[in-house]
Amino acid sequence: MSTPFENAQKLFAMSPLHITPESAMRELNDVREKIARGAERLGQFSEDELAIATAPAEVVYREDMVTLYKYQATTDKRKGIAVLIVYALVGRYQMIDLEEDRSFVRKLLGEGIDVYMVDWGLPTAAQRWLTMDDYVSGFLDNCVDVIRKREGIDKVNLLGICQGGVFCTCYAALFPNKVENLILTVTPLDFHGDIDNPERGAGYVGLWTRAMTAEDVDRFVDTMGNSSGASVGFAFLMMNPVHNVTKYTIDLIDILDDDKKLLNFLHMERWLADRPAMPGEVVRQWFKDLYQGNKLIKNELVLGGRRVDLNDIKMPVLNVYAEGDVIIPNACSKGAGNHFGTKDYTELGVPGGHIGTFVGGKAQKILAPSIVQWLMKHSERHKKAHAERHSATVAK
Amino acid sequence: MADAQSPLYDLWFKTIPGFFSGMLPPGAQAGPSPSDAATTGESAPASSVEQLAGILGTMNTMLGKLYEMWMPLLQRGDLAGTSLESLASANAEHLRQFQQAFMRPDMSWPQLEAFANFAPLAQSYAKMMPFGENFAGMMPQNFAAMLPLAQNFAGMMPFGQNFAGMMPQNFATMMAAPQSFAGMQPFAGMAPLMQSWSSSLAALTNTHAPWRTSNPLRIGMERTFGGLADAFGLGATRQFDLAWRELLAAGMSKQHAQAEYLVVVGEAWNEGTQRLMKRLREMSERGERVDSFLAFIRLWARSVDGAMHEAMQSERGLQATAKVLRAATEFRQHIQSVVKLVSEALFVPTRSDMDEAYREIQELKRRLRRLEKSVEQAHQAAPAAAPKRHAKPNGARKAAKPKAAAEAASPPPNEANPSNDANEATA
Repeated sequence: MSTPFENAQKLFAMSPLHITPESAMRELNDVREKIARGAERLGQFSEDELAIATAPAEVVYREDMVTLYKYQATTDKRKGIAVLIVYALVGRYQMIDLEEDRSFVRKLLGEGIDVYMVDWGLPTAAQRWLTMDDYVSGFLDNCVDVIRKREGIDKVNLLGICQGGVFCTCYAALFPNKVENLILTVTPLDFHGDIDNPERGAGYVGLWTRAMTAEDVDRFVDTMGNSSGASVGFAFLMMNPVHNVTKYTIDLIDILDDDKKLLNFLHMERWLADRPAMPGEVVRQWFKDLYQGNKLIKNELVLGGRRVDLNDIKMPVLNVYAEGDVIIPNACSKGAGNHFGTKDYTELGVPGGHIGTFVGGKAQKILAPSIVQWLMKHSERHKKAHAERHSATVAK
Repeated sequence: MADAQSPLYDLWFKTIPGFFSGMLPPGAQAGPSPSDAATTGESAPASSVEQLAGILGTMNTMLGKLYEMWMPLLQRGDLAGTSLESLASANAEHLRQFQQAFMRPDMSWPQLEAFANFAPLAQSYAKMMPFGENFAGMMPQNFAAMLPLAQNFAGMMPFGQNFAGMMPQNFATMMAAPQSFAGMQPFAGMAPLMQSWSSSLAALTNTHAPWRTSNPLRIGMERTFGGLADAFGLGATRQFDLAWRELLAAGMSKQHAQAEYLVVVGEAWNEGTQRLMKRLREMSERGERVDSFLAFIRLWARSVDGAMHEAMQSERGLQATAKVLRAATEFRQHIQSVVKLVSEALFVPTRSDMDEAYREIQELKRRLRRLEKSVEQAHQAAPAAAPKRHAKPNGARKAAKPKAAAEAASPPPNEANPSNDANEATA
């Protein structure tokens, strides 16, 4: 007959858990020391170290809470191509310039592109009646006009990110004469693309929104007004609720001794915590017309009394999707070429997730250079210069 | 940079103690954490760095508690044996009891109070509710303002003293309840509130025997004197009565929806623990070892996260989420109705008034933007028209009237027809 101690030993031998009281105490002490060091280090970081979006830029236009920036050029070898970047309303534009060595904007500047960026600002309760049309035909159109005037050009290159990509798509359809090239990144176009091609673990926001009725959306907007930044962030956090807890606990412990990783973490957190509210009427249209009605791809979306017809988009289109995107499933963003009026449609898959595409090391090497290469090929100014060079050679 | 956007951090900051206490062995109770003060609202750190430092402090305490609780099991060498199995079965038992309580038609809220293991989930959940902190801050003030009104109702309410006597109690309970929300103890804190509400609702919906007896009298009183109250301009009291009853019913519906949601979460939690057990058995068969406590927590988190992820994206999870949102927004709608009635009675601008003002301002801005655009286009068109002006100075200005300006002068489709897209969305 075995003694209790022998039984315990047998169990211990059988179990994969080999944590002894001594090792547990040792681990606890190590962790506590690490936490103490980490907490001290957190207190030592200066505001300069914690700052995000530090690429120098000047304000070239303001309207209500919207600001248009132009980034300072970082090279003399400029290509004479100006791009307007349009970010989503669900986050702040700083994500594309998170850190000096993880900055999509700096990559474009380094390639000699003139970069403009529209910051949608932080809407308050007073802005709850802003519609998608106010953003597209109002703010965005004004920004485009400012750039056209400053640069002395008729058409601009638009680069939309996620929801900003949808705004750019609508703009290009409604104001085709003002758009030279349309670049979409991680942009939902077919909001129901994931119904027939479900991707495990992806598209929670779409699933969640479609589980609601149109009346639910109306009641949400009517009672809440704007959708607060925290509630928008919460919808994303709920995709991986437990993981998001461990991220702030045991995963955080792992990086406490590494300043670079800790600062990366803090920069990303600073961006995450700065979520703006989304105007109520935009939420209503976004959920009902797009997530529920899928009206964009069906050419049924109406903004300010004008129908958005993708067939009117006849300028070249580059559609970049993130191969590991779980926010916008690939089925919702790619394969949309035959819906546009243009014959010059290119798709590009980039490694990384929805955000990783812009901040990940691997994607950084692909995204900006690919976009610049495509722009060079499609820029009117460059085409003209190329043609002139060609005819000069022929004349000789 | 708005570090003031701390609710996002706050959410997790408050979830973390619950996350760790959820991992304590069966029967073990986590002691009060030093971070409790920081999780109860006012003293919450303002910046993300401070919040993260606070999280580390919480972790330090909770990890210590966790190790302390598990140490006797470690000393007995019983970590992977009966203790883990009993943890898994305790989870299942809690879930079973919760479901049982939930399924009862006369759901007993004090019983739910006993489900301490669900408290962390409920805590984080309460924080996520749309009314959130506003509710917590708003309600005591509103109810404090409403209390004298309720006492005045005694003389005029159709069902007289009973309701008037009941109201101050309800208000008093509700004034305390938001404090519980802020302190993130929803089940424990909501129990007295729910008891109070349940009894009020029972009375008001005629399920309470004494009330049933007096029902004809109530109807008679209402028919006779209700009209009189209206005639003296006291109609708001009747509206308030109706709005209040609807608010109570919506509150109960919301609690039901939350409980249903928590069942889905609880099941996923339970499924995650079962998956952990399975994984440990598989690791054992492969001869793999876990020799760090943090690694063990990671295994557990991965198992629960997978189960939670699937549950939340399942049809049932999505429906439960939609139902909670539906019930919560309906509840909020009723709160707004009550507040509106009180505000109107006190000649205070209502939310609808403010909304209407914002809407008009926005519409004016829209018109201004269009006007500015057309003026700019007119300016741009002017140089082109200039030579013509030289040739025909008298009629040129009229002839050169830019098309854009003419378009701006006529209302765009959405103004001409209020049922158009832009306004349709806001109707």
